[in-house]
Amino acid sequence: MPPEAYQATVPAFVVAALALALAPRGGAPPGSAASKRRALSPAIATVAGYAAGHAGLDGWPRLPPSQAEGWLPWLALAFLAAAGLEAGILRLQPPRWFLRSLLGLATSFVTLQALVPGWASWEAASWVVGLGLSVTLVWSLSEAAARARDDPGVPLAWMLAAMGGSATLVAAHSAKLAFLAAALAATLGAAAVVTLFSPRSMSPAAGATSGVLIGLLMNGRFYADLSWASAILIALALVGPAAVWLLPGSMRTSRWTSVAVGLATSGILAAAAVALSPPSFDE
Amino acid sequence: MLARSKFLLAAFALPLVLTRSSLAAETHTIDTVHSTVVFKVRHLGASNQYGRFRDVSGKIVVDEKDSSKGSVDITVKTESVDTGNEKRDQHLKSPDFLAAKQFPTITFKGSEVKALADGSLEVAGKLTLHGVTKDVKVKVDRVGSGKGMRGDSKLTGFETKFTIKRSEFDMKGMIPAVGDEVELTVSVECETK
Repeated sequence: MPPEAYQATVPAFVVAALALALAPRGGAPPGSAASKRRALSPAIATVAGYAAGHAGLDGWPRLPPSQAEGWLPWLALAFLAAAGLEAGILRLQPPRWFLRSLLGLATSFVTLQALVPGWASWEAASWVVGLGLSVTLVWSLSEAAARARDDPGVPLAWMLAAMGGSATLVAAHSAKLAFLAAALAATLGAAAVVTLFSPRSMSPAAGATSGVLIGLLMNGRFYADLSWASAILIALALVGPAAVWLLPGSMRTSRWTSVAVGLATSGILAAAAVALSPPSFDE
Repeated sequence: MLARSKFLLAAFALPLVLTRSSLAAETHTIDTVHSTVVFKVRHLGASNQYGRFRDVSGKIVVDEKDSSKGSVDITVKTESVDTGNEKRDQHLKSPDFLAAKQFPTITFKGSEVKALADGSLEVAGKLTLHGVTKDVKVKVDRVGSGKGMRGDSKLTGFETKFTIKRSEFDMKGMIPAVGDEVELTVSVECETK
């Protein structure tokens, strides 16, 4: 593996694992500060892990960043703030949807802003709104699929999506975007390991995971050579754990059936995305 | 006889005066077809890799009397990068290196063009690459001059060579596998007026 792969993945894995391991232990009374911090720990770990991987690879980006992918650590922090707001004061669905839509639009706007001047206004608005709402939709679906579960199946399924994203981005001629997706995959891998021993729901991390991965896919699509088909399949792989909703009610109650179905769905979608992305580096 | 001598003197002196005045302020318009920017970069510490940008355009104004009236305005299209390997070119255009969609041009804007005694130029200006602008001072050689194919235009060639560190332009992808230092050779042919 090239050294950049370690620069991105090792800090991401270590920081995410530490952030989860150092969170308050389970068993605190519901509603207590310790319980809230524990519930939010997957979001903190995901954002801290990805930010560490991004900084390890490319340094911490200045504000405003020179390139679109430099927005991702800043966006991840915004997604973390949103997870905190949702856990704290935003209990009703309408304000949650408003906040999620706002962040989805922010993700697509900052990613595509270099291209906006060259587009007609209707075209720019269509891309920004369409892709922004896709972030919101994937975030909401993956959050709902993760909400009632505390098993490692969810972070593992998301990790498969991020790994698939990394493989498709390297095939799209961008090693840098691929290493950043690998940093996200390492973060989620750490979450899966810790969750195995110390179960907790990954749902607060759904926003940061969706925003960062779809942000990377947008960068790959618009600034490198990622195909629409691969990008869409990877985004769908993120909602793989929701496939359990398609099962008959009796099967949904089995924890390991849910894990297996989620992993299989995400894995198949990610593998299909990779299969559609022929290897490209021959230098 | 005296009048004739004055006429002859004037007839010979006129071209000299015109030549001097045209040297005082010349505008050189870059011919894209006969101009290029070649780059050289170390690969895996083992060899030098060469590539070029095919699309170079702009103007060079030289005022030999007043360097502050001279200017250089060169634009290079990043999409025109060419290393002889399509996949490598796509990689160079990606966010790893040039990020060609976000930064479609590399520009050099020189605000001071000093004519040196040996006929070369000293140009100070700002190089904008990858969205980052840095001050650069280069010595530009006049390669030669000639006439256009139809004989109705004057051509002048300029060339300069200088080295940049791409990391200083926020282009940090794959260092050190692909070297940080990039040697640039800018070679242009211009129509001179």
